[in-house]
Amino acid sequence: MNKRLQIVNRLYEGNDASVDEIVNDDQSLRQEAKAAEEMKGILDSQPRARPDASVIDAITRHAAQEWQAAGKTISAPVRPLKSAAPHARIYMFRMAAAACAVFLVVAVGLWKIVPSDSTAPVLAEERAADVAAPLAKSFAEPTGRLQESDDEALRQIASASDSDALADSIPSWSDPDDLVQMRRRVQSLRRASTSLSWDDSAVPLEMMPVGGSTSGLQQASTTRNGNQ
Amino acid sequence: MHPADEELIARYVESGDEIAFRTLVERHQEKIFGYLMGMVRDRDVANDLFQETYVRVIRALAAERGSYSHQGKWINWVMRIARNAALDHLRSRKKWADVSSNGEDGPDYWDRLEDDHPGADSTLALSEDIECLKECIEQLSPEQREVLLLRHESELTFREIAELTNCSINTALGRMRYALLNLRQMMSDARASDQAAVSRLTQ
Repeated sequence: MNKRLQIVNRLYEGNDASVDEIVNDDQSLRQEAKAAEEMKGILDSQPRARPDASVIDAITRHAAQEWQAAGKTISAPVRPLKSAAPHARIYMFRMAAAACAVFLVVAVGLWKIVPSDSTAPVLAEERAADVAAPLAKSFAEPTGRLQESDDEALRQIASASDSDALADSIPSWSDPDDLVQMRRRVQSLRRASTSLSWDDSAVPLEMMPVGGSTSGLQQASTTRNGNQ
Repeated sequence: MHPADEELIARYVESGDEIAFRTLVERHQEKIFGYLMGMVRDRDVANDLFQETYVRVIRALAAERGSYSHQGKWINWVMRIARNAALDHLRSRKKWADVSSNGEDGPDYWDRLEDDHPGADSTLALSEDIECLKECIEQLSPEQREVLLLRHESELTFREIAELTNCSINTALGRMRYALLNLRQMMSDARASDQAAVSRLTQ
């Protein structure tokens, strides 16, 4: 290769160090190398030109159209560039969480709303009827003030059974067994107090009638004498 | 870590990833546009040729879909298409044939330069005069100008330039050498002309 060409090759490619010794030994070559290097520096300092951004946009649109025209549809990038992938995963996770939250809200709302519109009144009426029947039966023959209070309770229950408010008055968690136990207790109290009247004077316990060996109280002396 | 050119091409060809294609265009826009701009010296025309280049690229990729065989040589391949687009334009404007050749077969321009040229040092002061430099580049012969643009703007090696322009490496190096020396001389002359004009005005 010509020595002068070697200078250019060394200047741009930098792969022939032996040229340096040749240039140093020859003044004309040294001057040429210096001039070429200075000129290269001037050229390198030139600003780089770029096309208009609209041209890049037009090329990108054309590329997409041509690919679609070839019979395929443009798909999402197979692998998003740079850090787009982590952002996409976070975005998808947030979207999934939001979708779950919305689904839960809608499900709970439907669970609350749908029964009150259709089945709730029916269930409430049935429940009120179940409750009112034994109570009405147990209070069929009331006496005195207790009879008045029982009648009032029955009226409240009966009126409540005609309205949706009954659903609120009877908790959904109530168990009819509790009501049965309460009814039995009321009946036992009624039996025990059938011979009493609200206007009678107070009676000592020892004067209470004794129907059996286990009911009522007896004087300790009589018990003791009897034993003796 | 940026994806390689071939990976971006594969994304576009296989799945129509237009973002990948845009990345590819933007990555090499300065190399291609700088070459086109230097060849035609008109920004609007250079923009048109840049677009025309990629229209041809897209068309060629569609024709070779699934069988792209330019691995590792994307920029060289696109530069060849850009060069053809530029030459087509120049031929249509009848500029290419009108410029006289001043290639390596001519007289050694360096031999005609004076070693102790009085304006040699002061010529370097024109380094920031970008417009003057561009005008001087435009005055180079087409072959010298093209090699200079391919090396400085497109950053091709002399081997790649030789392959692209169908010449030997020595020819490409020779054209580059003459381009540098002629540019230096032209800028020196321009500087001397300016100084002469200023001195005439001051007298």
